[in-house]
Amino acid sequence: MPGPSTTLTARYGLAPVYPCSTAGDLHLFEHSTPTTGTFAWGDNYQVGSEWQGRVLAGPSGWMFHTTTGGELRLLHYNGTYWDQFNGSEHIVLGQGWSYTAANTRYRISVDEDGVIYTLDTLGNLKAHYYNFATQQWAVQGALLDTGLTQYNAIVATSRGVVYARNAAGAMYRYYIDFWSAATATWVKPVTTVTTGWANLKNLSSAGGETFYAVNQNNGNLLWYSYNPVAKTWKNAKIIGSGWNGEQDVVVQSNACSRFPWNSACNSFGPQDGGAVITRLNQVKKN
Amino acid sequence: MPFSMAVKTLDYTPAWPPYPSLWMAGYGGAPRGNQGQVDRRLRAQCVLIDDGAGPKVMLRIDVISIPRYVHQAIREAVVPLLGNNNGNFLIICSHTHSGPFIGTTRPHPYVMMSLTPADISAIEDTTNVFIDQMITLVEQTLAMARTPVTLWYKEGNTTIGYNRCDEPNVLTTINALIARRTSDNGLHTVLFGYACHAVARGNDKTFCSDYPGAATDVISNALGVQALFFQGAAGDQEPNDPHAPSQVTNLGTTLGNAVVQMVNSGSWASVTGPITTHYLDLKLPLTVDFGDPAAVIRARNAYNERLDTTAPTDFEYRHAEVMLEQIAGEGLPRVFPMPVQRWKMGGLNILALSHEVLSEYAVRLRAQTAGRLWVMAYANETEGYVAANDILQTGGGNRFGYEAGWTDDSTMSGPGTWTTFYPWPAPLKFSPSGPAAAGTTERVLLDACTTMLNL
Repeated sequence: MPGPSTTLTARYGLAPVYPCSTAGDLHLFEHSTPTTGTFAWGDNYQVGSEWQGRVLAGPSGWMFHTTTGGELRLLHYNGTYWDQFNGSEHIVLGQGWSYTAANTRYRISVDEDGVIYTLDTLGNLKAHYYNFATQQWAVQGALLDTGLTQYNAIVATSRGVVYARNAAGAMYRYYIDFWSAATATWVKPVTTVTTGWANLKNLSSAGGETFYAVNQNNGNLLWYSYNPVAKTWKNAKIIGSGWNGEQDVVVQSNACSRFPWNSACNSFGPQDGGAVITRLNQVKKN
Repeated sequence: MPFSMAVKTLDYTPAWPPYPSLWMAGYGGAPRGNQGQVDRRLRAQCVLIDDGAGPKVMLRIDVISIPRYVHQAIREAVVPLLGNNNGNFLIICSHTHSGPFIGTTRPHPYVMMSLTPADISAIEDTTNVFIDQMITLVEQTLAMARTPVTLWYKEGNTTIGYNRCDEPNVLTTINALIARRTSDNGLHTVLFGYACHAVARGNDKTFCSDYPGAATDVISNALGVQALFFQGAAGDQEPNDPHAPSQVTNLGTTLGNAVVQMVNSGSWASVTGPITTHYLDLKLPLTVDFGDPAAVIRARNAYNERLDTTAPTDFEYRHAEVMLEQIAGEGLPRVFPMPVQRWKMGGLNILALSHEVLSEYAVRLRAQTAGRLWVMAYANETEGYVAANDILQTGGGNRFGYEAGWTDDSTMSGPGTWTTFYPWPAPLKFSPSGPAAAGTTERVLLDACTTMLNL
């Protein structure tokens, strides 16, 4: 398995961005330039309602919804309508997923494979992986790291990559190295990857270490992209305005990638032959 | 092993009444409606074979194709009569391009001929008459007295066509299965198969069963029994030129005489029972994952652009309209369903593939299969072409991409290719270079067939 490429690609040339209002109305905005971050948009339209709680966008139209009661639900938007699962628009994946309070809602995020990462207030970073194809949990509560109490938010992005933010707005990059050796390893940061993100909210990623966030001071929607090979940033491009009133702003998590698309998750589920499961099991501490 | 058989032939050549419309299928462009002209009449024929474990039914029809929803309507009515075993019921279309337009989805009458909604509604009414007739034919055949027979199998050879894709495969095998009455060993029925597009007549407005009908007439007249034609993997097999009414007789006579000569000579292998059947609804992948909203948005933008850059008289313009309607309505299809069916009859295997399968599949499957393998195509439903990986790779480089389904952009339907007329949003998935990789069309189909043949 190769490591990340220096080249960022967008599989379909655009990124679906889903703002959700405090009233629970979910819209889809079509961002036309997710690899370069220009102020260029296609259409926008409402795609749902009653999404109060916390919205998480996964890969290829898969969406997670944690309700105010702590129920974790899985849904799939196919570009025209919400798919049905035995007569329902959602599958209940579990209870106790309490990520709607102000101090917890940014402690959950999804990477481009669809792995859910959670950081609890005790500093435990865990990974959870639901297989969309088999409709079964493949990995539940894999403990990746402990003692991470200094962070107040996480954002998952590329395959196995999680950024964590401290109160001062410094970002730290954790990742699973699954290409350097036969066995994957969990790599901790020795320094910050960037700083100055304290005023950002609604952190989300389109995949490939490309980030979307709202500047809570002025409501601008910002775009960032980090090249993990060159270790360089394209920083803080303003790609929208007036986004301050949204409860959540989330981006399809695999709109972009630095990995080959032929092994990327799609709407049918994982296409990697179980590689995600293997590496999570190799790095977990429990 | 003793079998019993019943065979019934229906001349269903559409006429009004009861058929409310006589639109013809097979060639796009100007609206093509029959006004009563008939050359060789159109047959629907049903053959029932019982090995003592219950009837197995083949329904063969002189029609270009039937789409999935029509196939399923007929199947849902018939299968309960056959022990609810999907494998026990098989439909084969002859693919004559001089028959009625059946179904309103694939191919699409609006894309093909720019028909009005009223005309398309009339095709739907015709389709309903057709469905009822086919179901009734099967029911009547099931109710017939059965004749004890023995079954015999043989392969012959003749050439009436060529490979229009400039591929090396020219399918010349004649597959024949005959039934002889147990009582006196007299000939009871002839089933024969050959792989060649039934377009010898060319494009006019006359109903005609094309060369398969002509061959059937030759055999029936010479041998005094019912003969039934089954089409093969003819997706790239074109009849010899010219395409004209006289060529129907020429090629049909050549094929029919070859079958008669086979029947009148020896070396027939006995077909042993029991007959085992299998049915699989395979899902072939498209080049694009249309369950991904980003993919659907891109497709919407691309097809909107096509509306801006083509004329309403263009096939691709109307195709784009259909795609945009699907995006706004029921959604784009995410897979290409492909029923695959097998009848194992002792040493003889019949593998029935839906759609317009190209010859490469028949060649490879026959080469890898021990014993005799009769590959049928246009089976059960026909909603597009299924080419092997090399043709899919080539795109517009071979016959303007007609059998590949794309021209210069493999993520959307190629103008004037099969994905336009059988409206699909994108072609079948393939490996861009080298042999077919896992998860691509050729591998998925060959692996599924191999698995089924190993059962």
